[in-house]
Amino acid sequence: MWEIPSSGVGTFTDSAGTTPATNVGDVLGLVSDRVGSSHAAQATQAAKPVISTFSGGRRAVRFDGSGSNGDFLTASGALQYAQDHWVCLAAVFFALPSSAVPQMPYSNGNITGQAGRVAEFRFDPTMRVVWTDNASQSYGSGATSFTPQVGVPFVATMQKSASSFTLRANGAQIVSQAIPSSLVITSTVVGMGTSVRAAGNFGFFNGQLIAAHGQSTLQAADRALIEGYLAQQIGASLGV
Amino acid sequence: MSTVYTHTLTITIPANLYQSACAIARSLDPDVGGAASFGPFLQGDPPMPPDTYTTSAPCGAMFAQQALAMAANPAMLHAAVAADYAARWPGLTPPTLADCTAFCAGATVTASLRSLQA
Repeated sequence: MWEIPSSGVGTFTDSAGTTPATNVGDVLGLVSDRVGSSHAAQATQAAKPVISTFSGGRRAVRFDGSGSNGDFLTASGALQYAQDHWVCLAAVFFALPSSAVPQMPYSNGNITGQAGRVAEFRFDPTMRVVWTDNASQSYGSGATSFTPQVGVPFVATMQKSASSFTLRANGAQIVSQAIPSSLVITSTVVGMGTSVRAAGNFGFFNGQLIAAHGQSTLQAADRALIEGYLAQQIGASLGV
Repeated sequence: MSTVYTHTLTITIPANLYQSACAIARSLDPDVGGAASFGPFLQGDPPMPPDTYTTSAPCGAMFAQQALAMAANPAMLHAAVAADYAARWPGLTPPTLADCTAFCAGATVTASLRSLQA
């Protein structure tokens, strides 16, 4: 679980984790996993998100989505999975891209180190689930009935099973989309990208505050518990 | 003491400078990932490869001033890059003065103030 505490504990400006990131405006090069050991890191200054604030002075992490890649953090080791998994996010949009058009991930031949297949997924700015499969060069998405507002925090949960993605916003299901059986999640990236060409470097939200990942089927009671915690942390209202 | 990142530095390069720009960016980045600042190199395959690559990074006011100064002075840029390669990347070949000259001639470097609130 990656959380941005006000004390700055577990957050660093450099990817090696030597310089604490404590102030609004600091870049984030490393966010420690507060539960396990799957830290989220970024070694490139241009792709580091920044500690920012939103309503009530609450802290958030701002992924500015600029440059060739946008900003993103990549999870280490244990979050490289190919099984059922879930991700819960407490997020706020600092701004919506001028073109609120979903940025379809683009898989190209320059992706190396992927043994035959890479599949990636994200929530796009209009809250659709989008994924790519590098082996078949296919992608898909599901329309939703939820549109986040700039500056209004919300909680999102996405669960991937063997056959579908299910996305919830503020506790309510907004889309469930079948996925190809060939889709294998091989990497976890959190952030915000702009380039449809920068496959692998796109992510979830512009202004993410907290992210929690798990590698299993997330039971309803557990999901409600996590959603409630995240909502309380950022002042979101479930059921809205 | 941490840096106050008051500015955003943006660099746009023509695609033909990609390799040398990545090598220069390696030394300008205070962390170890500077060579990836412009993202992956994109070849053909639709859509068409880009004409330019852009990167932007938060930075302090002094760094922004230094970057703008170096972008206008290839010799200064080369000296800074060479010194950093000697200190942090001794196993890698640093960009040449010609690389830095071409970078300064072809790159567009701008600095702007940042906003940190939603």
